[in-house]
Amino acid sequence: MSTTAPTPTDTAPTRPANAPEGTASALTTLGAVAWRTVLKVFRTPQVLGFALIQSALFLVMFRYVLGGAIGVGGLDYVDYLIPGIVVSGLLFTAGGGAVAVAEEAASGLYDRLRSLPVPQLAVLAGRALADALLLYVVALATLAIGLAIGFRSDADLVHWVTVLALLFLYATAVALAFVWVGLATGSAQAANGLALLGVPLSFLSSAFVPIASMPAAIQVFAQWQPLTFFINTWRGLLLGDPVVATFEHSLDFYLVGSILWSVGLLLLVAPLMLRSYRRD
Amino acid sequence: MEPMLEATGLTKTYGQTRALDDLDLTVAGGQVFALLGPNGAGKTTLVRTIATLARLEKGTLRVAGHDVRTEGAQVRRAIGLAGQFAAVEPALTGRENLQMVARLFGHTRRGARDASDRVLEQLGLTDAGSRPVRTYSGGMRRRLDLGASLVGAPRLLLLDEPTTGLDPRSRTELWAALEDLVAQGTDVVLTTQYLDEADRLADQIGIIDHGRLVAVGTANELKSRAGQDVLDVRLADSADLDRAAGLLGGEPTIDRADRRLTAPLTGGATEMLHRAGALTEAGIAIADVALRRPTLDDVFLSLTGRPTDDTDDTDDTGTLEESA
Ligand SMILES: Nc1ncnc2c1ncn2[C@@H]1O[C@H](COP(=O)(O)OP(=O)(O)OP(=O)(O)O)[C@@H](O)[C@H]1O
Ligand SMILES: [Mg+2]
Repeated sequence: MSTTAPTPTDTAPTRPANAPEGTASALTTLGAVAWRTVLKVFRTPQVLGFALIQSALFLVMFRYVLGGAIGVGGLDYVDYLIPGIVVSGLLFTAGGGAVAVAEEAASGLYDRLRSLPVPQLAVLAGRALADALLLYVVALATLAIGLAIGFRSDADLVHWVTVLALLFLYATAVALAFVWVGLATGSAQAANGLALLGVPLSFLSSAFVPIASMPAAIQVFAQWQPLTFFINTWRGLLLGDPVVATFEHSLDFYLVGSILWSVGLLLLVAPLMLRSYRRD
Repeated sequence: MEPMLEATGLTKTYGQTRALDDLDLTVAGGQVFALLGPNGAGKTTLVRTIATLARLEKGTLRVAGHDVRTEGAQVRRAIGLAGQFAAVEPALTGRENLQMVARLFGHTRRGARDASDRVLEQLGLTDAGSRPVRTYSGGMRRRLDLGASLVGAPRLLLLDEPTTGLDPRSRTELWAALEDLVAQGTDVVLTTQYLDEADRLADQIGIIDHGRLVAVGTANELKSRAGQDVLDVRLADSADLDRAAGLLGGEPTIDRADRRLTAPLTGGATEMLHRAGALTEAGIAIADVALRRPTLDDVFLSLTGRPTDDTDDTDDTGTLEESA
C-alpha cells in the first residue's frame, strides 16, 4: 500500500531557532548524568542515611554481640572486623543503586537518554561513577565509625593511600555491576532480590570469621571469591605482618588479585551493561 | 524536498506478535502528524523505531533524511522524544530536570539555563520550576516531560500519547501548549487513541491497526472516505431496537446502551424523514433523530471494524463521544 501524504509546506526541514550549537561531549554527558544522580540521592537523604545506619548496626552487632565468640588468632576482633565490614558493607549499600536504575529504566528515563545525541557509554559511566562516589562515601563513613569504636592501625601514608585507592577501584567495579543488575532486571523488586545475594557472599568470605573455621568445600570458594581478596589486602596493608602471617598467600598475591578482580569485573560487566541498556 | 519521515516495509515482531507489519508511511515536513490507533496497534513500537530505540527487522526508515540503521547519531540530533510515560525525576526540581536534558542536547551551561527557563515559561511552569517534581500534578509532569523533549529545539518532536491519563482541563492546556509550539515551526509526530485529539491537532492523520497503516489523510479526507452522511436514530424503548433496525434499512449499527441506531444515508434530509417515518408508522417511538456528517469515529469503525476505545470486546459497539 502506498500512503504518501500530500505536502502542506514544501520546505526542507531546517533547524529551529534556539537549537544548541554543538553536541554534548562524553565528559559533559558523564558529568551531567553523574551530577543528576548525586543530586537525586542528596534530595532523598533517607537513602544514604539508611545505608549508614545499616552499616553501623552491622558494626555494633559484630563488635559487641558476636565478636566475643569469634576467635581471630591473637588479633583484636575489632581490628579484624573493620576491613571486612567496610568492604562487604559497601556491597550491601550498592543494592540501592540497582533499585534506582531499575526504577529509572521503568520510568522511561533511559529511553529518553538513548534518544539524545550523546555518547551512550558516557551516560552509563556517569551513572556508575556517581554510584561509586556514594558507595565510597558510605564506606569512608563506616571506616570512621570503626575508628571511633576502637579500630587502630599503624600503617603509614603510602599504605593508607593504597587502601583508599583500592577501595575506590572496588567501589567502581561494584557500582558498574549493580547498574547492570538494575538494567538487566528492569524491576525494582528483582534488582533488590538480586542485590540481597551480597549478604551470603560476604558471610562466605573472610569478612567476619576466619576462613580456616569453615567447612573444607566452602573454604575453596571463600578463598577465591573477590571479597576475600579485598578484605585481606586491607588487613595486610593496615594491620601489618602479624596478620599477613596468618594468610594462605602473600600480601602481594591479594593485592594483585584484588586489582585483577576489579578490572576483570569491569571488563566483563561493561559489555553486558551496554547490551541491557540497548535492548528494545 | 526531503520528507520528515519515510518508512517502507517496516516490520518488527515480538515473539508471535507483529507489532509492525510491513508498514509504509511518508510524512512531509512542516506539519503535525497524528498516528491514531487502539491499544496494541503498534504506535509505541513505531515511535521507538523512529527514535532509534527499537531495532528494525525489515524495511527502511529515514528520519529527517537520515537512515535510522546507519545514521542513528544524526537521527538523534534531529528528534526530541516524550515517551508514553513521563520520564522525569521526582526528587529534582522541574528546572533541574530540564537543565540536565538541555546539557545533553548540547547546550552550554548558560544555554541550558536559558533554554530551561524559556521552556518552563512556554509551558506555564515558571512558578513551579523551583519545586521538586514530586509535588507536581500528573498534568504538570506531562508538560514538564514535553518540555524535556523541547529544550534541544528539535526539528521533529515525537510524542507518544501525550495526553493519556490527563483530565479534560489538563488535556486542553497541553493541546494549547502544543499548538503554540507548532506555530513556531516544530514538526510533530504524535500518537493518540483519541479521535478528537487527532482532529484538533493534526494536519494529517494516519490510522494504525495491527501494525499496519490502514489509512492516511487529513481529517476531512478521512471523513469523506468513510463515505456518506450518517443517520442517527435514538429510540424511546430499547425493546424496539431489533425491529427498528430491520425497518430502518442500510444495516444499522446498534448501540443498546444508548438505544441508538446508526446507518449510512445517501439521500439527504428527504431520505432521513422517509426512513424515520417508517419507524413511526410501525408504532416505534423515536426519542431523537439526526442527520450528521461522519466523525472520525465512523472512519475508524469503517476501516478497522471496531471503535477506537474498544480493545477486546467487539460485539458491543459501546458509545463513542462525538469529536469535539
Ligand atoms: N517489548 C515487548 N515485548 C513483547 N511484546 C511487545 C513489546 N513491545 C510491544 N509488544 C507488543 O507489540 C504490540 C504493539 O505494541 P505497542 O506498544 O506498539 O502498541 P501501542 O499502539 O503503543 O499500544 P498502547 O495504546 O497500549 O500504548 C502489542 O501487541 C504489544 O503487546
Ligand atoms: Mg503505546
